[in-house]
Amino acid sequence: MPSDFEREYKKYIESETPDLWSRIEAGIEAVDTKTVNENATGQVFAEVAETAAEGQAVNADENRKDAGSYVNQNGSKVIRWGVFAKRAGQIAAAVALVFVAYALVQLLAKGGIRSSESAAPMADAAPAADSGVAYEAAAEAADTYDMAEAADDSAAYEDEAYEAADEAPAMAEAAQAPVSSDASEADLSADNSIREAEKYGKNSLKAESGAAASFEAADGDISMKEGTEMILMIGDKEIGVEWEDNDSVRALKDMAAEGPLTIDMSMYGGFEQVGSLGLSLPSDDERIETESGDIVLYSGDQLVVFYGSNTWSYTRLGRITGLSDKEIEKLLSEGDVSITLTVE
Amino acid sequence: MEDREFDLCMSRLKEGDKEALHEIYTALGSYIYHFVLGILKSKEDAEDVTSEFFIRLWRNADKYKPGNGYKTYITTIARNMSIDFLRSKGRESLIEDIFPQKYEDSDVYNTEDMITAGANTGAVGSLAGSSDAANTTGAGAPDSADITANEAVGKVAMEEALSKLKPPEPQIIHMKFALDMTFAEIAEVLKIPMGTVTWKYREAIGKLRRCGYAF
Repeated sequence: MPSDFEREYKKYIESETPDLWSRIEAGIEAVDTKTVNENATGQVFAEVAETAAEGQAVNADENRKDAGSYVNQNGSKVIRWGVFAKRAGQIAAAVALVFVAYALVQLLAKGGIRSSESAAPMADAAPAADSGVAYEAAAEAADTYDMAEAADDSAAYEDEAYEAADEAPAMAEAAQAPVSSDASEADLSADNSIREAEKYGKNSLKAESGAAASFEAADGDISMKEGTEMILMIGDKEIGVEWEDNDSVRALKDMAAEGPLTIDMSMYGGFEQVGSLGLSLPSDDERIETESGDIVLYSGDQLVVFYGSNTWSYTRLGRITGLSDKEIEKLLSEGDVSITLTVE
Repeated sequence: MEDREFDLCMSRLKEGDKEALHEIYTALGSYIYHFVLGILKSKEDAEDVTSEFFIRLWRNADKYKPGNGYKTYITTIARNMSIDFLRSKGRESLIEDIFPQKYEDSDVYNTEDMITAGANTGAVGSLAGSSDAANTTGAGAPDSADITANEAVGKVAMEEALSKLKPPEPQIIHMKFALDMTFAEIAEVLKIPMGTVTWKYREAIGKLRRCGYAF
């Protein structure tokens, strides 16, 4: 009875390999010790340089702390109320955004039009809260540098929020999936979110969250989303494919969507390249006489690409486009290839 | 070891996680050692180069770029280190024996003949026609009392079978069966045409079948 070579070979090389780990470990420690010594020398120089720079750093800190004030010629500290007022306004805007975000969460939790009605009073309340918060914030900001720094952060946050508002319509559109009623409701929610964003100007955070929620609600089967395409590469060459519209292709697309799917193919019979997918896909086999360029599923878990013809029971997956029979044969008949599937 | 697993270990290596290196060594140590041994023909030298390989992997972890497949990467490093070792010892002649610079295209035969053996469930329904009748040598079904004797016999049989292969057949067989590399990857490492790789592979399989192995 012939013994299986692969099994015997793996057993053989495992048994004939010496244990080199202690030697490798010792070698690594030698490398690390050398690196530590080199770093220690560098560290001494770094500390000297740091001490020299300290005096300058102290002065720089003092100047920064007094960004909202300055010392006049009489030696009196003068507070720049205008600067603080501006920053206080930014803080107020950030607080308003937080209220809006809270309203948005409530809106999405309850869904659709009903939630937008309840959110409106919240949004109306935000401007009213604005001036009161701004007044208090201005007073607090006059005393501490930290508040001014937080205002700078919120200004940047506000800029990001404006950018998100611009992107929100595109995000909501991309998230649409016409399959389930849940997705439709989520789309409606997203549309409402976008209208709210336009109405209240700075409610960009709301629109972004709405669009994102639509995206999640419509998620599930990524192969159903518009704008996603499965790309096939043979080696490093991208190949045009007209994919079938069936469950097998959808399942294959789901696999590819999780990360590039590379299949090692092998030449067989002088007319095909075949490779294992590693798991079974839904299949609907029928007797097919294949042609050059046909891509089929065999036995539920084998991807087959033809450069010749054969007649057997397969599930159609697609067909190579843009290449002649001769070009396909040249691509596939000169040794085993790797096929990579990605979703973009 | 899968590509993603290796990439994950390498990113841990960059953070100084020694355990990650141990995992890589456990998975790939025997592969690297025997690949190097096939070139250097000396166990002591192979131990030196293999140890240095993993130390170098540790030292240069930050240079590794994930996402491109690791098999060609590590095999090429092992190959280059072995060649450098041979050159440092003045044994360049061995390099030419194992990695001949020139393979004529005429060595690549008609593609109709290049039917690959190995794990392949082709679409004509069965592979019955693709396996040759093999000599029925080798041990029979192992009995618990004879396991050690069978293992010894298996080792001798394997060594005898491998001794019949000529370079680069042992390297191709090793890369194919120990690390499941594709022919394209093997061709890239050995720097020979892929058609030559498949042809040499087929010849090697034929020799191993005549020694009593099934594929």
